[in-house]
Amino acid sequence: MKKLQFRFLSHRSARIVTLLSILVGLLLAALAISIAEQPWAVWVLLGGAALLTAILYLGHRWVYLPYRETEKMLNLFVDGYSMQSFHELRHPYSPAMESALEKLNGMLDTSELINASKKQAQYLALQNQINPHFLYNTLEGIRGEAITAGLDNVAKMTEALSTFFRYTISNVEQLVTLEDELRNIDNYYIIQRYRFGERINLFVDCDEEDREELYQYRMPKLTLQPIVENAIIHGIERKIDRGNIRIKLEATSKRLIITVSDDGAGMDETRLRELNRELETPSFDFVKPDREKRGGIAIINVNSRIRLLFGEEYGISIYSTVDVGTDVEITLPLLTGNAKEY
Amino acid sequence: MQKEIIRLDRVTQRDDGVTLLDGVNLHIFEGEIMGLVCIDSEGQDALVNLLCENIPIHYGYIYFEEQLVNSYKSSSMELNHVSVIEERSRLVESLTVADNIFVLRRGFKKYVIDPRVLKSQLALFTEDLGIHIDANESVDELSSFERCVTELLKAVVTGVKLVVLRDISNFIGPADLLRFQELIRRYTAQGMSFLYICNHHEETFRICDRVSLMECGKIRKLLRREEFRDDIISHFTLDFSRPTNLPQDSDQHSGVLKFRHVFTEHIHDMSFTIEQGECVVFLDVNNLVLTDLFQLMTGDLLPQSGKILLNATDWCENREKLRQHLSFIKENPLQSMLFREMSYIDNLCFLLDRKSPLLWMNRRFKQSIFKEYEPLVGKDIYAYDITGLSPASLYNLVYYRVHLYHPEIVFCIQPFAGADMYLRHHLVHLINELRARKITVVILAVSMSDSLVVADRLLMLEQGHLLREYRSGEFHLLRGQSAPVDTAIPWLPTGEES
Repeated sequence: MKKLQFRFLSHRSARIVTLLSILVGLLLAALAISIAEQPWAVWVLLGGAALLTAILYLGHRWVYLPYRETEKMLNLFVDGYSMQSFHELRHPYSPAMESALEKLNGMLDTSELINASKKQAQYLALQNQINPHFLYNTLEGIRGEAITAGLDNVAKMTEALSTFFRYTISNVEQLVTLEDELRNIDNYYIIQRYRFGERINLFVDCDEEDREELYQYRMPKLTLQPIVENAIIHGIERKIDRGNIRIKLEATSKRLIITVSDDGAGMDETRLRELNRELETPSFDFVKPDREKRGGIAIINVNSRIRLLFGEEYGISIYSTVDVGTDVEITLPLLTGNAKEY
Repeated sequence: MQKEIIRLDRVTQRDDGVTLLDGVNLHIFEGEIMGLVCIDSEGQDALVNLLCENIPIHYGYIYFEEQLVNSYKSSSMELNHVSVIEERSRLVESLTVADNIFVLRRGFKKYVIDPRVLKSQLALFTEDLGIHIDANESVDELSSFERCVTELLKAVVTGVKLVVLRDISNFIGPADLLRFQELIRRYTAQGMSFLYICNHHEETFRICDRVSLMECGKIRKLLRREEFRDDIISHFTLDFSRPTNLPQDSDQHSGVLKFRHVFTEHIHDMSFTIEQGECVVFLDVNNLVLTDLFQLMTGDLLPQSGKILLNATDWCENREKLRQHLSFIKENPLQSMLFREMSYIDNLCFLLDRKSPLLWMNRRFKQSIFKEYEPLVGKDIYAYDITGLSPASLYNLVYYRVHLYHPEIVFCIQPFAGADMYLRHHLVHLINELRARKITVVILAVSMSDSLVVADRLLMLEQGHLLREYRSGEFHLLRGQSAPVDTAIPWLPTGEES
């Protein structure tokens, strides 16, 4: 183990510094002994000690503390806590390392990642590469036939499905209003109600005074739907009894906080830890999406998109308990009407 | 739109490789009372420290009034405008109330202090609140309630935005707790925010707007008001229902301990009888007489008048002889009742030498104790160093020491104070073990906590008087009564349970 550690330049440097310190100490001691008889010896020794203390202090401030900071930032990146820390290294070890990091940052260009994330969002929406225009036309046709035949329920369901797909497929790069997102959720809910009937209920909860203002804030398109879908599929569907989904809206002067809660099956501690880990870890899964994993990555993709767009201070946190339910808290910056695209 | 006072965003705090806080999210709005129920005690201290001071964190972001004040990248080490009210006073004991509130604060620059001005300034606050506190009274003379009010007023005067209240029901009696909660509500309406930390969810449900449940340094669930329901919380808590196999009241009502018209400085004409083998809880609504009661039984205090009879013998005249019939478990016994330099077995046998003076010289004694208690306390009984043992194991040591000593009566002072849920559950088990050995258990408490789970009788004390007595079959009455005292005691078993 020690041999392996000695491979690193940091360990070698530490050893060399230790050896040098011992040597300087010995030299000082030797000097002290040799000049002990001289009347000016005390001043020389005091001066030497002061100089040594100053050098040690400078070494601590200029080398040790920045070294610790760089180590921490790199470790946070390795542990999956932060990708930003990797971009924001203040004290690289050498110019070559700085260049290498810059090169790597260029390769992991944020805008590229955002594009990849958008594509993944489209991919999630399209699911099976459905031709959108063909789909709209067919659904409209079915709706027309249903109205003619007096099948109002089928007509309503078809309309909801058609509207849902239209919203999902078009202009994924847009920032939409919260109202648009909630309208899409409403359509999605109508469709799911045909499947689950009275078993699911959806509530949108906010301070009535703030509702109008809240509905105008902007957010990335298709942020809420994958989370509501997860709540239904992984929460309510697995529950025998009726299930409720509550979307709680709150805003502060800088943040929009949306909490999607369900009282479904919840998830166990291991799965929750795994999911939170995946949420914390900078994920590039959307660059090369694995079609087999589709259901599992929706929420992670939404989180990645939010963090790429707005920074690591925003994103998703999940709380869950078996048989109690799951809460997904989405934190977004407070964006007003001017922001339309990203 | 709400104003956010503090926000902890995915905060992870580590100390010596131990994760104290694990991705904690917590945000508190202006004018909000946020509850924090700690299922276990892990991470509580670290969280409070982080709220007060911007010390380095492993990961995460902390915002105070929407400004980033601490993050894993840089920590300013500055103090936030946060005040903490807890059992340990943060006031200067030897100074007066007015000095503590007005003089000892940042930005106070006067060189000449006129006590009359301070008094009139304090009166502006106290009259508004309908509370009387003497501005010139020394802080060490104050009751727990007055001290908390003083700390709260100090926070108000210094412009603190967030007040952290830690386990206040452990040291304020139920009646005063209710008054203090009224004050909290009053200041909440004026925009002050509170973080109400305690171990009982029932207590937070009464006063808080939202409640977070924390376990192992992690937020397990955030409950909003509409989710303050037993069916949800039951997934996070242990079963504290009353066991059915408790020892029944004995038929002999001779009374092992009797108080007859006892008076002390704080106790006024107190008379009661405690029977052999029963468990009685004394709930001191004002936190006024428990110290007197305790000192009367330790022999440090003698009644001004009246009689105390232990086994029909006068306690005051024969207390040296009768002392060995009593045992005491103090508040926070892990700090005050264990000898860290002694082994587990020596600690366990500590009281026993009163009954068997040759105990320490006789190996066979110890061997038989090992044999008898190993099935109860496990392999820890062989530990030479008790400092590394878990709190549950150390509580075992304290209670089984009494179990082994087998006194007639054991007095437990606030046994559940400060204990997290798992420990409280364990303490219920340990008290029942004492009861199973026919030891009379007397619990002295200012907070009901889980005492009624083990109690046969509750004696409620107010202003030094015995106010009322409740038998176990009547405990459910406490829940429905309209008296202010009882509404502060929400964690009572329902009628069906009792």
